[in-house]
Amino acid sequence: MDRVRVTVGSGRVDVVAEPRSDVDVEGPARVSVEGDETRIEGGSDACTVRVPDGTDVVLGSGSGDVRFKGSLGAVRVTTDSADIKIEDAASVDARSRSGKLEVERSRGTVRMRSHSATVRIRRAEGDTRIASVSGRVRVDAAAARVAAKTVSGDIRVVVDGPGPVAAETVSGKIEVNLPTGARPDVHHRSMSGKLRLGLEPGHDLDVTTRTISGDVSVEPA
Amino acid sequence: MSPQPSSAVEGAIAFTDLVGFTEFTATRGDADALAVLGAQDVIVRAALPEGARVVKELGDGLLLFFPSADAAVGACVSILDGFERAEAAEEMPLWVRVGLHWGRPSPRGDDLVGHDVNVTARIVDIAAPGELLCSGTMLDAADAHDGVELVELGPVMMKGIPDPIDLYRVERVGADASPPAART
Repeated sequence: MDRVRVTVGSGRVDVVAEPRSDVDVEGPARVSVEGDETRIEGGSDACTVRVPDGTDVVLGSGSGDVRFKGSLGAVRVTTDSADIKIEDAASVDARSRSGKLEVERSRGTVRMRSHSATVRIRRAEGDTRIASVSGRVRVDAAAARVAAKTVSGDIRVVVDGPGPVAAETVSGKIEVNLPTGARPDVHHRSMSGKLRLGLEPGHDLDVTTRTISGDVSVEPA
Repeated sequence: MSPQPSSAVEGAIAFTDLVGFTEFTATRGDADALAVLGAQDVIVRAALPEGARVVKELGDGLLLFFPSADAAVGACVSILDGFERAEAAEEMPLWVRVGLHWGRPSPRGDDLVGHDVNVTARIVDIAAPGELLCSGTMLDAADAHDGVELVELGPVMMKGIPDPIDLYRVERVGADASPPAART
């Protein structure tokens, strides 16, 4: 599968994966091909990039929001202040200094990093690592391992698989929701944060939490 | 960009940043904060190869300079390793992140300044806790990338930097792809 590499400044970019065999660009952008890589350089105007289903995309944007629609391959995207929204990808590596990150579904590994904005994944099917400073982190359905770190942002993980879950924060709150009836092996370490455990302990899955001052709750979904 | 002064020195520039240090200090107080900085000092200085130096301390961050590109990559990986070990031993409650770039900064007394220093500061800004990110320029300067895997993150637009920077995440070869547990 060929790869598409996109660089834009402040222009909004839509990357659309669809049943097609070529790459098409709508909007003002410079397009070149190097080996198996299509390179697209946009500027301050919006553009739409249409790619074959399953295409790997590497994208860098300044302040132009980025949206990925359809079923993509590996997506690696970095923005300065722009928001990132990904519908469906084989794997995700998304990071932004201040933009909001949202993934509907990742079929594989996830790495996401934001400074101050919310990070949200609706369904993570692969190993997932998320980090934020002050932004909230939310995983609505974690089907595999999750590791989340924040400084002051709250973390909420809803587990829909075998785990394990590792959540660490300095002063944010941690909320881990497990399937009803699950018996977690919870390891909690904190200097002053409290743990509320609303499930019978057991060995169904590991939940590890660490805070400096943030409270932790592990309860049924 | 204007020409660089003749005193500019070629080398690798690294910024380290302790994530959450401000919140930690507010919560735990100055004495605990000083202990964390002391632990960081031990880890970083143990990782520095000959010729490398701590240029300055910026609160909880450090500006480092390495004359050798290969040694710089290895040292920064060692810094991450050192933090991981200290965290596991409950000697380090915070995480570090590192940005690394190759360029020609200009000396100003013992300090280093210039465009390449600014680029390095932007790189560490977008690194996640526990990550080492480096520029493509840095990797071009390094002959060998033994023991590490490079994951391309793509062209990255950074505030105040006119051209996109090719960015890579550096990982140890054989590093567990799964998320590390916080358990000790």
